[in-house]
Amino acid sequence: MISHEDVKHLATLSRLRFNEAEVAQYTKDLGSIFEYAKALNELPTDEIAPSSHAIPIENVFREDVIVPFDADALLINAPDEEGHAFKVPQILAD
Amino acid sequence: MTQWEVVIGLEIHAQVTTRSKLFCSCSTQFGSTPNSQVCPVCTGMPGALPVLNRAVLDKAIALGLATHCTINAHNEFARKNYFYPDLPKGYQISQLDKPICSRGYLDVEVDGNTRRIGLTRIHMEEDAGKLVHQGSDNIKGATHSLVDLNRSSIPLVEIVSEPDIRSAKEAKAYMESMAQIVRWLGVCDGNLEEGSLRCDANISLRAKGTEALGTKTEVKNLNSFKAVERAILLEVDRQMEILEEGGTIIQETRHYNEATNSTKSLRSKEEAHDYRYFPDPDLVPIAIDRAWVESIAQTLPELPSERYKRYQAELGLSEYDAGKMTINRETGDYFEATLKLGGNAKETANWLNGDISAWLNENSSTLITSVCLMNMTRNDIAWFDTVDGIHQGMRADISSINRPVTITKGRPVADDDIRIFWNSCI
Amino acid sequence: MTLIHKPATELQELIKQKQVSSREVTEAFLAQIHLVEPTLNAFLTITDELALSMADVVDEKISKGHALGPLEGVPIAIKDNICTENIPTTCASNILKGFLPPYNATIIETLKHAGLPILGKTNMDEFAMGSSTETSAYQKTHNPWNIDCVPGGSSGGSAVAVAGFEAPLSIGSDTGGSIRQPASFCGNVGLKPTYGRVSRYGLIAFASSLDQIGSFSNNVTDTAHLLNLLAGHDPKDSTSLALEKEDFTRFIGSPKKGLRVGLPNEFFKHLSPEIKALYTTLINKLSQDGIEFVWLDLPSIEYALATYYIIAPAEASSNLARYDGVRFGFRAAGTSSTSEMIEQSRSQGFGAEVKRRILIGTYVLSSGYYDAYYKKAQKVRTLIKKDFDLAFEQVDIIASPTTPTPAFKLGEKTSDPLEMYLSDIMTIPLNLAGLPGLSIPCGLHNNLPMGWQLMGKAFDEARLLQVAHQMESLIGFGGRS
Repeated sequence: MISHEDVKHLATLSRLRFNEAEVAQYTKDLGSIFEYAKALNELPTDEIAPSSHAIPIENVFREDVIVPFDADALLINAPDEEGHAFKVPQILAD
Repeated sequence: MTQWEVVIGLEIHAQVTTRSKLFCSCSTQFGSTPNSQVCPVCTGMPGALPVLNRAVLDKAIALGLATHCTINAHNEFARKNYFYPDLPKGYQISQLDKPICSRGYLDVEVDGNTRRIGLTRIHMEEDAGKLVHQGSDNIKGATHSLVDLNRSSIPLVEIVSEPDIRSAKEAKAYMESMAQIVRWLGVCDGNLEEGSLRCDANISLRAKGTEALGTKTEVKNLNSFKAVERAILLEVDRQMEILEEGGTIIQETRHYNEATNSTKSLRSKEEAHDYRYFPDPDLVPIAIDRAWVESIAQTLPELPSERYKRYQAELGLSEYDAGKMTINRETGDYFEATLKLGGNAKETANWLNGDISAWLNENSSTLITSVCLMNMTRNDIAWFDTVDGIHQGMRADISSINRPVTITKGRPVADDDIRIFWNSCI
Repeated sequence: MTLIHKPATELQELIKQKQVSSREVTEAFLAQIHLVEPTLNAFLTITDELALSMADVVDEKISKGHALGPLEGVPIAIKDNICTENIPTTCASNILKGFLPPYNATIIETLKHAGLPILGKTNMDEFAMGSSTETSAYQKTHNPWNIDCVPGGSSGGSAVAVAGFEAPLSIGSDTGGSIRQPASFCGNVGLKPTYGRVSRYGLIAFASSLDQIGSFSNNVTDTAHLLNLLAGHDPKDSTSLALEKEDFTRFIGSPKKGLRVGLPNEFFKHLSPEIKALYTTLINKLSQDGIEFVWLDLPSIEYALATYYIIAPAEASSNLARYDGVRFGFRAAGTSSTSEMIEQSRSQGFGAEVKRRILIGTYVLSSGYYDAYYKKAQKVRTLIKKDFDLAFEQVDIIASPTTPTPAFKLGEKTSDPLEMYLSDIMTIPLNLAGLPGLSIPCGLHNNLPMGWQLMGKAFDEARLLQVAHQMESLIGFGGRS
């Protein structure tokens, strides 16, 4: 049910690169996991509302107030920096 | 020969005017040094979590009400997943199948006729950061790029119209009306130069009299009213030429370049991203009850279209004057404050259109930026009935003017005196 | 009994009575850490200086005659997926090697404020994805009961820190059993509170709707005292509940009368005869001591594992998109474009299990599969919640084994992901329902501890801890000598 091509497509979507051996391994792994997950189809769920949250709560907001943060601290982990900005290699138009 | 009908839908992104960002407490102020208005949340640091700014919700509801939308009792945020260096979390928090507003409309005046443009939806979302390409003017020859996240998580509303627009001129008029409304409501400052208002157009052609929509293209980067009109004209011509020659339109995204007045294909839609939207588990659903909607409705100002009609019907202004007096809320409010103090409608309008407008032009000022005028509105001072009054005002510290001054009953003041007075106020 | 073998509350009594200083207690644990770490490998970072300076602050307070707060002066270890400002926080992943968080998680602020010296950061499965701590990019942690065995996971380092007497208390996180399962394998008390009880701000997300911070300790009383500190509303976490402060120790020591405990048939189905016998003996003993057990059905539970392995990877695939080498963490060298940089950084930075879950999650959210997998799983999640709701109409507490087997051997299950996933079959349902649960040690099998899992109603931790304490006393588990 999951093909090598599927895994390659998923890799592209998730920005991962695999060699052929890895593709084969993940194809097998995903296949067995989705085979196992098929069991869910045994349950009728047409009338059931999906749950995105464990505990149902609503309407959590903050007020529109500024709280400054030490912005310099956010650049200490930057792999590459220039002029207080995160520096990245050339971006190829896609 | 086939008669073509133009079908246009616009997507307008408006930056919601707030002090802090959509999901964190960083300032939204424009034009600071790169990465100075950032925190763990808007830079996508591991472990940081979003919390919704309530002010954005209130403003989105106000805009929905002003555009006759249904305010959805249940709405929620979803993650739109894609990779780009200016998108720190690897997803944008937006709304998909449960937007805050649905199914509204906006009446637009075009050549003396009223056109009703349907709105599919209005939803809230966060902006991405900004990329600055180095070593070249554009992305192509750049050696590297710099990521600035000051804009990241700035609150936006996306206003999606139905494909009800039939010409470039209508599109421009719609965009202008929408800009007027969002400014009027204080939802957005409407500043196109700073990117507070951005527009994309979906354009297709179909043979007149047919129902089915033709293949559309999306033209992006329409950042002025003129750009909306010119880019659509260009794209309509381009599509028409292809169709007349028996060709087919490719569904694609095109980028408009205002400087060269041309569009360029970006990428074809068949390679479109798979955004894998799903409800954001870090945010909780929003339930909006009647009382909440009602409380926002009560704070809504009279809308420009309503005022436009009232100024004509009740105050006897001409269409032209009514239009001028409702060009933005500041003018309208100023006009009314003046009337309240005893002015005559027609003469007041003339005065604002004439002397005041001329002075503002001369001084590259507007009612919005003129501190003096704002103070005066606030203090219910409209204009002074005597030359002496003006000189008194001139001598006074502007912030201390809080005493209503006697107002003329429609007697205009000499040009020079006004000029002297206003100059003292800049 | 030496200091390191004493429970946290007892240690604090000694500190309060000035029989020992917080520094002496902290030094004792640091000494044990340096002694056993070469064998156990529970810690990724040891913060001797920080721990001692925090202890000194407490001792200073005592010398000035100030009263101490709860657990103040008692040291603690922290799982390495909880952000500690300027202290490496790696999630045991190469992609976060050397990452220095620019901020503290809310619970770290809380613990610092409460004066619990921080001993260090503990090993875990990479991004909490695993059940044996073997997916850590840095080291393998060993079970103190048998160093050929895994400690369980993903909070294996935190479980071992307590089981190996390296810390009297530790913090973990539980997404599908990542506290209860290693607590079971290591013979200590592991609590996963109700979802929303403890702030997730600063907990590096695996699956946001399932993740919850909890603790390890030597006994239920210590667990209750620690929860008093950890619990509370946090305005920085939208999913954190605004509830009134309560004392989770308030029922401890007064056994609940007329206690009814539910035993779900589904949790006892897949046990080997020997393990089943162990639990039958336990249930019989507790019955004789006056606890009433009721067998019941949670029919949707059979689908919990499949549901979990759709929902958790889906959320993870999105949560892990931020590791792109742009702003922090590992960046692959020698790339000529940003897209190549992102792809290489992720490919080199993430381990195999993390990639597998990213692929699963990406698949179930992608167009064409969303309804069949993700939405379906969310609906089954609703059914699982309903099953628990119904069950809790009949009983106060639900009990089960924590794991189907005791700790397994290192390397035994690494080749078959589904086999590994099955070791969480007993603990996963609770995360899907958001309910609180804990594991207490209840006996030995092949000289390895087994856990007894107790599950409560949402926000009913006080009751859960009361019953756990009651059973703990009746079981009288001796611990490791």
